[in-house]
Amino acid sequence: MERNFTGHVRMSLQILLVEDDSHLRRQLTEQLGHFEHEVQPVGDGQEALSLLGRRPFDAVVLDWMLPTMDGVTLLREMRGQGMTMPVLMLTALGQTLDKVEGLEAGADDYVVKPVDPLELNARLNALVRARRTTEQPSDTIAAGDIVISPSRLMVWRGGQPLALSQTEFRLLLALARDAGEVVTRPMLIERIWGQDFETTTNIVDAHIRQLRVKLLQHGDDPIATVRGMGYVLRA
Amino acid sequence: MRPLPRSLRGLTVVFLALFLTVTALAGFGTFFATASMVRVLVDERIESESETLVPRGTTPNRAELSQHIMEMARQRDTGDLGVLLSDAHGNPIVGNVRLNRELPLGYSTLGRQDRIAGLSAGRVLVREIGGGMRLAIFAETEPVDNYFAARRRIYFAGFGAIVLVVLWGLLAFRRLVGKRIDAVRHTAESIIEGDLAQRVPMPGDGGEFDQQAGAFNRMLDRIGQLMGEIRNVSNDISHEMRTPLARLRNELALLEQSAAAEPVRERVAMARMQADELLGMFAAMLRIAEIEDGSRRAGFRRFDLAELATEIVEMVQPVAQERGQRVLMERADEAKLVGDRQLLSQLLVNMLENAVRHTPSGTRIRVSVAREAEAVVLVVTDDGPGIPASQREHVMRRFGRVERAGQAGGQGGGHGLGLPLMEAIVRLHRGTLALEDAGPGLRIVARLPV
Repeated sequence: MERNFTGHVRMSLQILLVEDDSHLRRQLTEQLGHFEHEVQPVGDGQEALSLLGRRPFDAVVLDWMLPTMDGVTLLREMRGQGMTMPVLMLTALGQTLDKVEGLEAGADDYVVKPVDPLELNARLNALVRARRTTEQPSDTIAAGDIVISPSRLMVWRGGQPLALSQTEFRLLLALARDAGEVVTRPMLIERIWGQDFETTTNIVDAHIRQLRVKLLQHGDDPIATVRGMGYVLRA
Repeated sequence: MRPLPRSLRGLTVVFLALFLTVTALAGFGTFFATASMVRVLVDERIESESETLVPRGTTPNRAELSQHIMEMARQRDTGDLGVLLSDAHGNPIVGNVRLNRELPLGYSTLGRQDRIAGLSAGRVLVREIGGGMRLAIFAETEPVDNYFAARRRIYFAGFGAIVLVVLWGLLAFRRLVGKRIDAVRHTAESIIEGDLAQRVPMPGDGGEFDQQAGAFNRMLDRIGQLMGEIRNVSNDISHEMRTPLARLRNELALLEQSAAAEPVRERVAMARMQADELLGMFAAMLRIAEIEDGSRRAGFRRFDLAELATEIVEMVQPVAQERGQRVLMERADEAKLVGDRQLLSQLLVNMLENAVRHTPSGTRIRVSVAREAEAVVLVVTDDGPGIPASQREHVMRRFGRVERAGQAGGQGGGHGLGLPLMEAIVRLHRGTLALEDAGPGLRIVARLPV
């Protein structure tokens, strides 16, 4: 049932990392490097802005608390200059209002420190993929032999319609949007229920098991579990 | 018996009783003292008149004396001073006063009953002056008629006014003191209920109450500051420990991914999960701190709690089903309230997960959202083993867990921050969280004011 996720198609991204804490900057550069991304680390906002003007990046990882130019100012400056690449911000825990401010200023996603590199990688991949797919909008989403119509709330597997509950539908859609990529449990919670919260039981896993039962009626198991991380729907 | 009552009311009553007694005594005392002073003065006067008329030790000539008295009676106002000379049988010889009774020798008091013209109250001195004659000198003790009655009225009016002024002053004083004490008590009670920002209102006049309120408020500021420092220290510790712990956890996660041999991977996964648990504990502490600081109130929005509860019940349902439990939405009144939707989702998730984790297979978990006059009451009831009354207070405390025979900490134990987190969320919404006996089972009641 399990699959090492190194077996999946990998995206190599050009990432600009803006983080003033040199220790964390070094660690994140190294860890994102493990996922074959090319990371350009910088320590302050001015430097980031001048680099962004000189070469293209697929995504920006932006620390919210920067010494000279803070995250929100840099982000507004970027958006003002017409830079549309996805921006993922890093916030400290317990800074909910910063998070709200960041999303309003045009951040695409956020990760709460301390940063889990697997989570960060999964979210960066998802953000870049979402940017690329919105360029060709389509009514249906396909993943392997599964076809989903979000507008009609319908799902087919191998041409057979599936009867899913609303939650199961949202779960499958959340996985299908990043088919072939790991979607972490926190990402799934956000995508299904529209907000994040801590759970102490295996809520996501229980919903996955219910979904699997229905998917298995028309074929093999298309969902792989990635230990300690999340799930992958076969592309 | 205590020498003095301690309450403001008791002290007021005792003071008033004492005040009234002393005022009445002083009034009567003054009244009678002045009366007797007047009598002494009048007695001295009539004695001196009597002496002038007939000096002691002399025997007057009857005809001369009669002549003298007649002249005197003609000159003087009869109301002021009266003279009567009579013989040994009490028959009047000469004078300007007529008597209807025989007067004893020496001083006597006269009143209306003596029917002396122009005299309502007075004194008389009767002397034997030799030759079988008696000389009586009369004088009024009242400068005007009905002076005593008037004096009584003046006394009642005067002392009555004093009593009224003191009574009014006392009540005003009592009201003022009472109001200030109430203000302090009100502030203290708000603080006990968790609103640490409350302060005693300052009258602003620089008086004793102002100073007392100021001192009280400075004390509260200091307590707040100390609490803030303690919170900062524990937040700093949590933050500082999270970073290296997260690094360790990330190393373990990477190791878990790349481990070739299954047994090694299992062990690494176990270690990673333990690190996750520790991180979860720190995260919960920091989250409680953030909620307690109250800044999230700025993001409150209006929404329907019943709708949210229905959603969360659906969300937790599969976990419960896998454990052989059932979750029912028993009642869902429309319950619009102003709050933090995300935190109240977390509250609902925690309430339900708590019930799921701490009860055996076959348990029925019921959820109800009831709209009351001034609050929305969210209740999660299970028919599981419950929590003994003696331990309920303990589990509300941080790191407090139920001690149950045959159940180890790990599975289902949690980090003991679930209930404190729930309570912090409820308190942020100015509500109350209570654990109750559902006989059998446990009932968690969150009462959120609207």
